[in-house]
Amino acid sequence: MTGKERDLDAAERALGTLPRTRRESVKARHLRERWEQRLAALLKPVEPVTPPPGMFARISEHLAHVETLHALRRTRRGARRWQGISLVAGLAVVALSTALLRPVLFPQADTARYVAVVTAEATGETAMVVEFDTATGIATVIPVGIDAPQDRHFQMWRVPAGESVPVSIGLLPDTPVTRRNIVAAPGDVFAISVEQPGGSPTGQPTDARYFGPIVKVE
Amino acid sequence: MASEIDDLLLATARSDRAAFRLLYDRVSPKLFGIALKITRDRAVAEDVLQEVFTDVWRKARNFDPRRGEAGAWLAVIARNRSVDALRRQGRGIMGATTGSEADMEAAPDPSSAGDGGVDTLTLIDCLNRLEERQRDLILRAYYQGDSREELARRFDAPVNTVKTWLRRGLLSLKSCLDE
Repeated sequence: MTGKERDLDAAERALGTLPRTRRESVKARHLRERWEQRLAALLKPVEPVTPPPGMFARISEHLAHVETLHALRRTRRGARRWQGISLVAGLAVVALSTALLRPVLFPQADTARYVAVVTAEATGETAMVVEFDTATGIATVIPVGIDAPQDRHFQMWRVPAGESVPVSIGLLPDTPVTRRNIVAAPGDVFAISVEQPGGSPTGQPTDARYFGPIVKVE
Repeated sequence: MASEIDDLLLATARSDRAAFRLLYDRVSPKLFGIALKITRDRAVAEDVLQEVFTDVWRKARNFDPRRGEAGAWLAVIARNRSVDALRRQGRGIMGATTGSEADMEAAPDPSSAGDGGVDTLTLIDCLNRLEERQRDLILRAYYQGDSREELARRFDAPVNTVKTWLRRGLLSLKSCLDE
């Protein structure tokens, strides 16, 4: 490839007519960024509009949530506090999912129920729905269109609110499953990791991929 | 010479939350304006703004003041996130408008450049020197995030032709800017 072609590829990646590549050489990145800076002049005449009040608070809550998820991935390397987790992202999914899953999840409407919608950190897609009844300690785990990689198993964890160490709940089959004697509360986070057969050899998540805070369903 | 925005972004890269808050106060109207202009939907633009500032907090350390201004770095994030949002939506909003109408509406008005200064005017001047079709393709891709394939459909031309037009346009643009 000539230098000119490399530069035009970078221009098209900046423009978006070529997809942004995941593995980009330093040279290619610098060329793309130069084009982004050139084209950014097109954004200067755009009129500023004041965002709604409360927007910064919303962003802060979201950031707390994102940072918690990242902290969970690092739990094996160091303790991290779990306070201040935001339920905003989870609530949005819950609103949607509970409408769809209500007949499955809530055969009796008169008991206090909690739900965790466990989503893939990478894509945000819903991976599992965990329904939990604090009165009976029974959790029902319903996978939503995910399968464990070949020769690997899902293991479920609970991170108590305000704590840093996940507690194993057990391995999961690929089908809906009921677990008894679960102690969990709103503010806890359910997490699912990918493990070798038999479960995590260390007692802590090996490859934690899915997370969801427990929220009350009214 | 580092601007105030540069300083605030560099402080944000050091996880300075107070600087992050000040940065938000200073640049969020501009970035929200960009998100609104591209997505044309307030709720979507609010989601975009949240994604933009999440990126800013987490990726501020990627900003290198030797490679450009913080204001442009932030605006590019807002533009890219807005275009991503349009793509996720299957551009339901934009799909209804014809190419030329959308282009005209989206094209910047040089008289409103304001603090855009010479850079913007130079870029627009150079864009105006391009063949009309090349200019339309570039603006359409920039403001609506159209892929080569979408541009081909919209301009009723083969994908390879669109690629050629785009690249000729970008090449002319660069030589004009480097003059």
